[in-house]
Amino acid sequence: MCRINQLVMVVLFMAVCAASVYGQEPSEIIQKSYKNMEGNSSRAEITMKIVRPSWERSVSMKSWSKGEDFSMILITAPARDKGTAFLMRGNEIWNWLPDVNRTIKMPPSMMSQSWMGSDFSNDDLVRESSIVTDYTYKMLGDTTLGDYNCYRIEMHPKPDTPIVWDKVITYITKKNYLQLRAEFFDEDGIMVRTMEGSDVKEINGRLIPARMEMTPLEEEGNKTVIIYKDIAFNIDISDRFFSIQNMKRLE
Amino acid sequence: MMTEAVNSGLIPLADKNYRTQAFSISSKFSCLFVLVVMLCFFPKTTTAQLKEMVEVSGYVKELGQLSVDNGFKMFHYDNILHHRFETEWTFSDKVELNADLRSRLLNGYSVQNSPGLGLFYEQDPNFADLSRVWIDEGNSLLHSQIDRLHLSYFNGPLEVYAGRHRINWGKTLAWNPNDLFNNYAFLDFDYEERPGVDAISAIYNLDFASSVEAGIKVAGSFEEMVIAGMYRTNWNSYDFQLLGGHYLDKVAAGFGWAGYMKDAGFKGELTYFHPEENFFNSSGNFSSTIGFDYMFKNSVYAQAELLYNGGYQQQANPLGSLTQPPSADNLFIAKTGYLLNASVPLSPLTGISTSIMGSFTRSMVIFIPQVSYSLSEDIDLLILSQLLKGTVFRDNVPTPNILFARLRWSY
Repeated sequence: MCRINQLVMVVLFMAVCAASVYGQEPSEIIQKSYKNMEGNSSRAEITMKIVRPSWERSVSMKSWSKGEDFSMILITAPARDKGTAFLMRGNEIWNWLPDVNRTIKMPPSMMSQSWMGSDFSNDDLVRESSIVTDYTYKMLGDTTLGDYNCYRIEMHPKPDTPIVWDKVITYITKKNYLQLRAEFFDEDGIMVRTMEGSDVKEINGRLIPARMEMTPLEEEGNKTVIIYKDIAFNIDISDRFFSIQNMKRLE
Repeated sequence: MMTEAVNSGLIPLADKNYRTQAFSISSKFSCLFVLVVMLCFFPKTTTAQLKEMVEVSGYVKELGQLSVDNGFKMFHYDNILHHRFETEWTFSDKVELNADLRSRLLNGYSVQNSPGLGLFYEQDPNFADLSRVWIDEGNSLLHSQIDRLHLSYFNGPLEVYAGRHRINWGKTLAWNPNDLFNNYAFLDFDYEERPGVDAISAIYNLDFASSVEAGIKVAGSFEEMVIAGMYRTNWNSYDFQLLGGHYLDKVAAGFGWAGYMKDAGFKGELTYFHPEENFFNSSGNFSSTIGFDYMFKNSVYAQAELLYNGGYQQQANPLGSLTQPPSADNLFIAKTGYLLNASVPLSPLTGISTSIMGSFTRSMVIFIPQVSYSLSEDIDLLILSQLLKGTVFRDNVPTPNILFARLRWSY
C-alpha cells in the first residue's frame, strides 16, 4: 500500500505545483508554459511507470482536482490495488479501501514524505518551491528540439529557497510554450537529471506533451515515465464532488 | 490460521454450536452458483453486454505455514491454496449487486490431526448458511464461503445495502470498540477482505464527511442481533462519530474520532456496554482505543495503539480468540493491549514491516515481522512470521512460532 501512496502523492504534488503558479509575476514565457498545464479544475487519466534495468512497474489512476484544496484519485491498475481511492480536502486525506469497506484518515505527514521508487524527488514537487516565484531567469538563446523551435532558459533558485538544484535549464517551444525538456544541475555544476516531454498532442482542446520522462543520469537504465491518457482543464465540477460518499463510488 | 485454530482447542468449541442443517446447500448459495455459471457459459451474443454489466476480479493465493515449538523439535506444515472470485453487477446507476466467493483447499498437519475441522468450516456464523465443505478426507479439506452477497441502492445522498456485506465503523487499526457489526482478527492476515455480516444498512449523507447511518444485523433471536445507529461529522480537521444501539444482549453507546495533532494522525474510539437484562441493577463496562500514526521523512510509517478492554473475560484458547473475529465488548485476550507497527518500502518492489502486539496486564507479546516483494505486476510474495511469547501462550500453544510464505496472483 505504501508504494501506491507514494506514487499517488507524486501526482498530487504535480497538481498542486501547477496550481500554485497561478497569479504570480514571473518571466512571461515560463508563465505561459505553466499556464498551459493548469486550470481552476482538472480531470486526468494517468499511468506512471517506474523503469529499472531489470524490471518495470506501473500504476494507473484517474484524478480530479479543483483549486488547490480539492482532489480525488482512483487507482485503476494494478489489479491488487484497483478501486482504492484517495480524497484530499485542504490538509485532510482519506483513503478508501473497497475490500474491507473502510475509510481511513491518513496523517498529513504522508504528504510531505519523499517517495522512493519514482525518480521524482521531493524538491521537484515541493509546494513552496514554485517554479514561477522561486527562480530568476536568463534567456540563453534559441535552439531546436526535434521539430520544435525552442527557447532555452536558465533558471537559478533565489537565495533562501529550499531548492537543491544549482540551476535548471529548460526548453520551451516558441509556438505553444510547451516545456519539452528540463536539465537539472547539482551544486558542482553537473547535470544529474533530465525531464523530457514528448508525444505532443491535442487532448480536449489543449496541446500537451502526453508523455513525461524523468531520468536520473547517475543511475543508468532508471527512469520514471508519466503518460496522460486523458486530461481536461476547467471542467465543471462542484465542491460536493469531493466527498467521502463519492470517493466510494468513483469509476 | 488453521493450525492456530487447532492448537488453541477452538475446533471442539466450535463443534458445540454446529448446526446440522449446515450440510445442505442453501438456496442463496445455489443462486450464486447459477450466477457464476451464467457468467461462464452465457451465450456469446451477450458476452459484450455482460462484460459491460459485470466486473470480475479476484486472486489465487498459495500459503505455506510452518509451525515450530520453542525447542525446535516439533515441526508442523500446513498448506492453503486459496481462490477468491469477486463480481460486481451494475444493473443501473442506482442498483448494484456484489457476490464474492472464497474457496480454500487446506492440506497438512491440521487437517489430518483435527477431527471436527470440516464441521468448523461448514458452519457459517451468519444468519444465512452460505458455507460449504466440498471435500473432507485424509489430509485434504476444500471449503467455500460466499462472504459478500448484497444489493446496493444509491439515490442522491442515500445509500442502502441489503445482504451479506461489511459495516465498518472502526477508526483505529487493530481493535475497534466502535465496530459493532464487523470486528476482525488482526492476526488473521490472510483474510484481507475480512468477514461480512448478514444485515441491512443505510447511510444518508449530509455533506462531504457527515452522515447518518443505521444497520440491523439479521439473526434468529434478539440476543444475536445488532441494531445500531451512528452520526458522523467533520469539524476542524477532525472526523467525529457518535453511535448507539442494541448489541447482542447489551445496550451500547460510544464515540470515535480521527484527526490530526500537527502532522500526525490521532484516532480513538470508546464504547460503553450495559447489560439489557436487569438494566438498573447491573453494571456495564467500556472499551477504548487511542492511536497515533506518522510518516517520517525517510518513508517509515509508524503506528501506535493502546487498548483498554473493559469486557475482558479469560478464555482457555488464547490463539483461537486472536485468529477469530472478536466481539466489540471483548476485543482482546487481556484487559489492556498495545500495538506498535512500523513499515518502510525498501524499494518500489520490497516492503518490510514489524508489528509488536502485547499486553500490560498479561504475560504475552507477539512479534510479527514481514517482508513483501513484488515478483511481477500482479504477483506478490509475502514472508511473515508470528512469534507468540509469554506464559499466556507457553502453556496453550504447542507450536508458538509460525512462519508463513505466500504467493498471490491478482486478476
